[in-house]
Amino acid sequence: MGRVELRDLSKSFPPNVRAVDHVNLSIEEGEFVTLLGPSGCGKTTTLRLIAGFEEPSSGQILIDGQDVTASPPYQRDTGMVFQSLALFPHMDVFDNIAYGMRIRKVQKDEIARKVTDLLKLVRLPGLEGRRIEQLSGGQRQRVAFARALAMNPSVFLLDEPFAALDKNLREEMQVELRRLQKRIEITTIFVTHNQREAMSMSDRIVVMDQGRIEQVGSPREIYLDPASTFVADFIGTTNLIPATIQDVEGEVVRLMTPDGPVSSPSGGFRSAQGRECVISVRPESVRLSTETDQAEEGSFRGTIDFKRHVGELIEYYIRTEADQEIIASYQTGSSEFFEGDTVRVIFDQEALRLLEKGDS
Amino acid sequence: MKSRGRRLKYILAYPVGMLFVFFLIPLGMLIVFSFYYHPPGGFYEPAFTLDNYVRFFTRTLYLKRLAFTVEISVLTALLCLILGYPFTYYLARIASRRRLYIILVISTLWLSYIVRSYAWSVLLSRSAGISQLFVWLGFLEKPQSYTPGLVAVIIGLVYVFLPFMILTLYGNLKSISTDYEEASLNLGAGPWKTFWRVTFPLSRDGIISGSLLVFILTMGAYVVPSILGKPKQWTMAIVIGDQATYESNVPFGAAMALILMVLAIVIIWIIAKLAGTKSLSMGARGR
Repeated sequence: MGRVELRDLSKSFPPNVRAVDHVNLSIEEGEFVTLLGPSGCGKTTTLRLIAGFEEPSSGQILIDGQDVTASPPYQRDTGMVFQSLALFPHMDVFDNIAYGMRIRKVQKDEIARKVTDLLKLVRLPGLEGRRIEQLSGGQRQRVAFARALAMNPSVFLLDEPFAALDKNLREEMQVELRRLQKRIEITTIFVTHNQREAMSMSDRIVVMDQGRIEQVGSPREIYLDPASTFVADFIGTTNLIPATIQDVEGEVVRLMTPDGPVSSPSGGFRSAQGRECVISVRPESVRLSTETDQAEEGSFRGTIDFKRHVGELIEYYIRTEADQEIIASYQTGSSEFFEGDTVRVIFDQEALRLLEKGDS
Repeated sequence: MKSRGRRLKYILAYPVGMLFVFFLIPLGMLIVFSFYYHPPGGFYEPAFTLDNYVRFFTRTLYLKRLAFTVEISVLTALLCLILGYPFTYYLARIASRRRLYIILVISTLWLSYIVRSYAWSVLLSRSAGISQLFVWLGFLEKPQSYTPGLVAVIIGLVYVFLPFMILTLYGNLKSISTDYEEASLNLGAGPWKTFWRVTFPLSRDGIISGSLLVFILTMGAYVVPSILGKPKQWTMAIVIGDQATYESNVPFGAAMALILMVLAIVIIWIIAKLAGTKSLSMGARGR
């Protein structure tokens, strides 16, 4: 239970905003999929299309093989958690969770049993009689989960539910949600603009931009093999270096950059001589050396003009001779360079990725 | 520091002054006058007598007027709610040209009560408009006049006070996030159940404030019932005005005005109390 399929799904808003643009996506049973992208990328509209709050301009939505494109939201088998949570303020915790079951005329003692179970599942036993305004932020989140799961929906939809939480509580809830999702093995579609959140929770990430899917893949694939400069830039930090293809030798492409020649694995990139492209390299795949005498191929010369600590990492900002900015990151304590040092910038050749020259 | 304190005094002098000049002094005068003595054929003389109050509570004529005023106020509030709620719901939730509709609603307030009352007295007369239309549609045998009369008073009052209900409800409905309704739909409730279980209960505050507002306005209505009603449909306001101007009995008028005011306050207090305790008991409701 819980396969979701989006076929060529589009949604336009008047006058002519393409919120969702020919989206094709297949989500497997029990999978945790995150729709990730900047605001206005169409991720929330896609979720609302699946829930049935928006009508698609074209395309189809299938849940468990059944076409629900024309079904109203109350006939779709989804459980949604809203960004605002939308817990009914005129009802207590019990009534909120029991709402859907009462609509479907479930037996009274069955409802009571189910609510108790759900509150246990979200680790809030005994809070049935609380009013919503008496709950803390984390408790409200859990009640919203319980309410959305009460009818055993085949798909669990979440629209940035943690956006309003502070960092600690957000991380706690991320773990909580993922554990819950694994325990009941429910197909989950999660919407966020926070790439760290997406990376830490998802089986697969769907990166969206301007209504289109940019890339679908596991967090690892998305991070290590971004499909476009947009994805490379949006997920984590990356260095984007403009380059021109010189020649191709088997699996190795030789490129010319403003700071000199670099070689990179072609990685399926259809390359032709003279073509302009972009090299993406993650800061942790950039090494620094103070031995600046011998010019080695695949390395630039530059000066460290800024250094900062980011959590357990140190980031060095290097200004190269051709005036490009390259970021290199090291574990704290594993290196010692200083602002003003002249360094050689060496790239881990295997970690270089060639990308189409995008507009970002 | 000193000059700042003085400036604060000047600033505070404005609201406090307003309160005194426009509210407390007139109210004080009303209370004092209500105990004055009214010599037959004269005006009024300072005194302390309960005669005015005794007179009111011992004459069924006045008690009847008071009862009628309360009844017509409750009726007007209910009719405005019944007519106003669906319209406002449409306006706040469905309509696309909201601003235009709101302007249309407010525009009826640009004309004075007097003009609108006379307009209705023409429309409801035998010769004009509505009656003729009913004959043409076959509802009536021959044209009939509804004015002056109870029907005309009710139509006039509802027409005049409906915008207040709509504007109050609109603000309230607009403040209810559509997330609640979508959450209800998502949980399997159709539009009808969603309305009765979520939207309507959440708009309770708007319903209460709108109804109270129309109730208070009707309690003090003067123009509409005097133009569209017979003496049988006169409200307290007309009786009071009659005493004060035509009978020159200011003390009795003052006493009646105070009685009307106290009654309105008591009714509002009771409703607010009921509404308040109801919302408090919601959390403790059994299952």
